[in-house]
Amino acid sequence: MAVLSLVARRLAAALVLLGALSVITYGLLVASPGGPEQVLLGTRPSTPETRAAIRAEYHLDDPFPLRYAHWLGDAVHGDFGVSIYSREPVTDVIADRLPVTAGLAGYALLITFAVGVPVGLVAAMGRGGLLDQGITLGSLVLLAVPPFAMSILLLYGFAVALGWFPVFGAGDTFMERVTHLTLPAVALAAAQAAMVVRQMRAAALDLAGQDFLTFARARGLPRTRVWIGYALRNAALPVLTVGGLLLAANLTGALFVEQAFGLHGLGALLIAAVSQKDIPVVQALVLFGGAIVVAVNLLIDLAYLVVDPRVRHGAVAL
Amino acid sequence: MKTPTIRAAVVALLLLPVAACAGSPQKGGSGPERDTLVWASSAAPNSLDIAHGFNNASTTIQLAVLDTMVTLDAKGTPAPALATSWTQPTPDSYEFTLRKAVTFTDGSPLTADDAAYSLSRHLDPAVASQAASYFTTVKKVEAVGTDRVRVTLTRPNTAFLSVAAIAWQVVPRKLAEAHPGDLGSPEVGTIGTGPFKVAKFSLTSGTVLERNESYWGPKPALRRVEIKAISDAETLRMAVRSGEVDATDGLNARDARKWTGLSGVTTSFYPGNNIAYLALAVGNGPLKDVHVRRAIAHAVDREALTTLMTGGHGTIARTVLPMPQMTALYGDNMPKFPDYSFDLAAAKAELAKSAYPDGFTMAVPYASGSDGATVMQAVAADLAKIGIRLTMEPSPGDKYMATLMDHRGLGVQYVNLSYGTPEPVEVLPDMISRAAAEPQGFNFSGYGSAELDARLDALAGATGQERQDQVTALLTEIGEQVPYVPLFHMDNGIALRDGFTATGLSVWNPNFFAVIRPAGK
Repeated sequence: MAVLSLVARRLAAALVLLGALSVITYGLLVASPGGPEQVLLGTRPSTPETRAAIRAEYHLDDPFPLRYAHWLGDAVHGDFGVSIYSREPVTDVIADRLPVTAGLAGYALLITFAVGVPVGLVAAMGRGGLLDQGITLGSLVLLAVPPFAMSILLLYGFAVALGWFPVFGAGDTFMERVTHLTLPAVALAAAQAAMVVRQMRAAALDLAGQDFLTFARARGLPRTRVWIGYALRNAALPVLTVGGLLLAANLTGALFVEQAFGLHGLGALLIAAVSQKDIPVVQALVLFGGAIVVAVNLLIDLAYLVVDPRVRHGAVAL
Repeated sequence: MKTPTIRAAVVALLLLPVAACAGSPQKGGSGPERDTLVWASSAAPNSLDIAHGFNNASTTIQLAVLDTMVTLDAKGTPAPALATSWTQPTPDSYEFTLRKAVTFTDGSPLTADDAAYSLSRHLDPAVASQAASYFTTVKKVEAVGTDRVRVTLTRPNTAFLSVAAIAWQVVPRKLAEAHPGDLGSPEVGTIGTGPFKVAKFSLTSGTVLERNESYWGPKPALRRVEIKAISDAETLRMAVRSGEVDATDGLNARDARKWTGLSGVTTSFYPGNNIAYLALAVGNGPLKDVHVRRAIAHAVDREALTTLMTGGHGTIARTVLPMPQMTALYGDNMPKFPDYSFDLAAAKAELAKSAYPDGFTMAVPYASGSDGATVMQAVAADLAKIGIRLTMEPSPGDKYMATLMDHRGLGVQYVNLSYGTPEPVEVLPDMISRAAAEPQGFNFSGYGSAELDARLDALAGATGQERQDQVTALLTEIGEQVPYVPLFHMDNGIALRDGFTATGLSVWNPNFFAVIRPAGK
């Protein structure tokens, strides 16, 4: 029951949060200079009749509360409107781009954990040794390289010089998708993996001195059992938190990497839509991003319950 | 114990991509299917209908899929396309005879009704067409019988055929009528009679065109065209370099040097129908004084600016008309227009004649990170030498654009505009009509008068020598009064990988997919 009430409270809070987000976003877009006319008219002379028709069609002369109410009325019925730029339904625009971004985010997270967790553990196991220092230095360097610089380095090295990977695009079939997304995922994961390495190392070091680990070793349990069954599970909480936040960030903000690899994902869409004052698209994307953050956080909390019995027994306290 | 774990992790990371790579051969490049072209543009096309996609990336595809009633030949003269011929019964009307036995790619026959509706829809406010300003003089379009279309204008307009060659794209009436607002969108798509048909149109994964085997005209050499959008200039260059992309028009003259050195890639440049200039707001403080404006014209080092901005693929502008329009109008007999050579002494002398002999300070807004930023920095440095201090006020591109189009805070503005036709009447009203000096218009100098508007009206109906003389008179006045300082013309360019050739590419025929052919074919 405690879990159900937790979920219910979270969903109620999410609704309030999304409502506030939509008002703020709409308000900021309306307040910023310019309007969708520039996109609709192109960089060409226009006639007064056309301009009047556009202002009427998009309610540009209505006061802000009325315009927002128009949008909200449609949105609660699941109608997020039509993109001003491409004249496609907004849900189609987002659905079209989501697979690219979701694939990239998931792939990057996979690499982040596949590399970050073991390397962090290895560093903790050899604390203070040459390997640990090397790993620490390596992760600092990776953290310092911005994703777009990493993208260009990877492109030159692996796509142009070696020719192992394609330069741009997302591919059509599953295998093509994997090939196309490998370099962007590595570019996105590099700094994040470094973060997870640091997190994992710190968490594991905290545990190293704990009595239950000493006791487990004293009982003669195999080393892998000690580290994976005891240490890894106990170190999972902070790493899960970081992982969830990284996933949310990747789903909504992989902009530079998307740009560098010519991927038409949600990040690139958001930037374009903001500059084009494509209000329906921006609104839907912001709400979508908000929903992802809320959902991921809820999932992390639920994962805590699964991973850690102590949390499970005090679930109400969450 | 530690080392093997690390090694395993590293090997796993390295193997993942290699394993993934094994199954997928590289696309494009050197396959046996050389009649497929992979084309990349720097922006995604947003609509296959010129009413909503009047931009380079979109019109490139429209040109391949849709036919216009008339077209422009290499000299920019109107020539038959879907109309085999036309007559002009009165100075303000045209009658077109439709080509026989032409079908749309869905199999339906092309009718005079389709052709007529395809033009009149641009006048419908519900369509909110971006091409509407091209057809403001069109009064009525009607089908006459089965194979003729009559267009009646409100007044004679010599540019009508040229703008029709750009924007009178013929689509089935049924389709266009059902979709006034979203014809050409990825959901609705479009149907034409052109050399290619659309096999796929997505803003995300690109566009695929296939040859229209029942095309009435010469069959294009390419069987299939895949069109991608790569917005990052460096990624685009690497995609061409690696062979994933065969051709692109996404190279900027200024960056030409980066492209001309690529092995296996040929670049070709041709004059673009554009004009870059400084607009001087003649109503704003010191700029009211013609001597100040002339001083500015003398003080700007246009040669250095042209080299800086076009990398050798452009020319200094002497008038406010794009170079191809000048060539189409005057041929080799270009008259001499008032010109202001780079001469600081002359600039100072002009300034001494004004009310501001020691110069003045003026705020100049510009879009940060744009070409305009580079130009305005150079201009500010030039003008500082004669005592005119420009205070640079950067703002984000969309904000700058919005304030500019609202005509707020106009002073010295850098503008670079591209046009579609060989007709000076496409450009001059933008520059000196009073209507264009209102918000959303392109007359950023505010220069204009009732008398000038009357002369522009007269020019719209003028032909032959009379037309030439009237343009010359207007350009001379602009040259003397300097509401604008012409800066440069920029070439357009395309890059092609070996294995493809392009012949006959010109500013009036940017139909890339009809012009590009596999080498040896």
